[in-house]
Amino acid sequence: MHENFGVFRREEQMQQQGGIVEGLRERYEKVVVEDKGEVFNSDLTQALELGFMLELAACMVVCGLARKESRGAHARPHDFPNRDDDNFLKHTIVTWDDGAPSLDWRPVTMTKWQPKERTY
Amino acid sequence: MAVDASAHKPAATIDVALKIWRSSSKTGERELKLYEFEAPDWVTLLDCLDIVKDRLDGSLAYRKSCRMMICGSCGMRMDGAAVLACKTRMYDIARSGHVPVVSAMGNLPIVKDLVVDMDPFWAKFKAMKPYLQPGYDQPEDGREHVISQERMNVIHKESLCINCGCCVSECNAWDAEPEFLGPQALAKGMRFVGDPRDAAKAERLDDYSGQHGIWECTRCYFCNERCPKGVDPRDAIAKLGAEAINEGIDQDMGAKHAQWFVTSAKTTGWLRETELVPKTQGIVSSIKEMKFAMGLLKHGKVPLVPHVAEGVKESRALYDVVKEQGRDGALGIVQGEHALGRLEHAHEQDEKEGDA
Repeated sequence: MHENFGVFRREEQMQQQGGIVEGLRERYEKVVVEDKGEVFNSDLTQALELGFMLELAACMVVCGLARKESRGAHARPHDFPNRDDDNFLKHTIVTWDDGAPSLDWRPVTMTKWQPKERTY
Repeated sequence: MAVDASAHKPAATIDVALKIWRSSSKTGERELKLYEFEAPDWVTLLDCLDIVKDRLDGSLAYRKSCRMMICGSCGMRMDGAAVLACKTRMYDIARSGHVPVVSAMGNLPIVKDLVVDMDPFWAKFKAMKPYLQPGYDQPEDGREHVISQERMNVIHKESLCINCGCCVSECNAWDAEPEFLGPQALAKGMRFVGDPRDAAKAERLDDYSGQHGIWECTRCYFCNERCPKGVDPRDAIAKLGAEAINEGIDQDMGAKHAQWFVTSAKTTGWLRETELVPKTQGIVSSIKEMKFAMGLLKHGKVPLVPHVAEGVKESRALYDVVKEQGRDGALGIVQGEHALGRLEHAHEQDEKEGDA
């Protein structure tokens, strides 16, 4: 994720990362917790956290690929360098369905502060 | 923004060997285990523990969080001295061929391997009421209470504490008397006693001067020596003592003992040891020490008339300087050039405020 999924993103790198995360999630099915103890078992907590991080990574891949624009910390300078309010002024909502991330959108509630392009 | 992939050179590595005191959470049984591995040359002790846990033994237990000397989680001992694992670089140690022994901190019960129970630590911390107690000198409604940087610099060192427990681990007074408030809690106390916004100064000094407070410190300076953040807890305890005496909170034997040194210095220039015990403990309790006193007398250690030192004038002049400059409180506890600089600032500030 550090190498392929930073702020500046490329389509092919995101695709590639999708495959990597899939592979890791398959391996995770067979994860082993060495520490069998009940006290301060950080081996267990780390294993649990790894599972959560892999699910989150899978969500990020789906979102990143779907958002074909540049906005904030999601920058695609090579294919979609500009903000696209017509198509993407909306929240990305991901739910976990049947062991895989499922993509959805939700409208943004705007009040006092109207969104505008960052020009500085 | 393009990164040249060819710039990634293969990292230089070192061969690290570590011995870790493992401790079972069930039986408390301890075992010294050796671990050997290859690591990048930039690793810290904490990175090494991560490598051991990831590659060699997943059951190793230790605390960690920030990896950059901010959170205070990874306090432990290396070769018997408390360190933050994340601050301890392994390069020189590994290259020298030395095999360091890593163990849990001292003075706190071991939970498992390198993890200690911090409850006694936090109990003392809480006992200090470690939060500002506002009272007098309130700012106008809606205004902030602005304190100059110079005034905060006075408690700069005490504010650096990250509650890692390294000082408590090393504290000899805590080792002898586990009820002792300890260096961390007392340094935290000074952080509030020295804060111009806190209204509970006298109350705090009274609290901290109890049986297991300020005066129970043995002044071994291990806490100053081992604190990874430069808090210098012993200096903070000295400041608390000086402030307490200044506030007239001097009923503890420790305070009386300290005061007698001052009296001795300004009257004769020598420590008047003969009178030290009665002045510290009181006459009644001193009678119990008669046997000891007779021993001293026998060895010629008790001059019948206190002798006055040749340079007593200098000693008295020093006393006057301290009084004149108002350095008989915390401001008199100065160590090093850096602290002196801060002291000057504090005085300038007071003068400015005095003029206004």
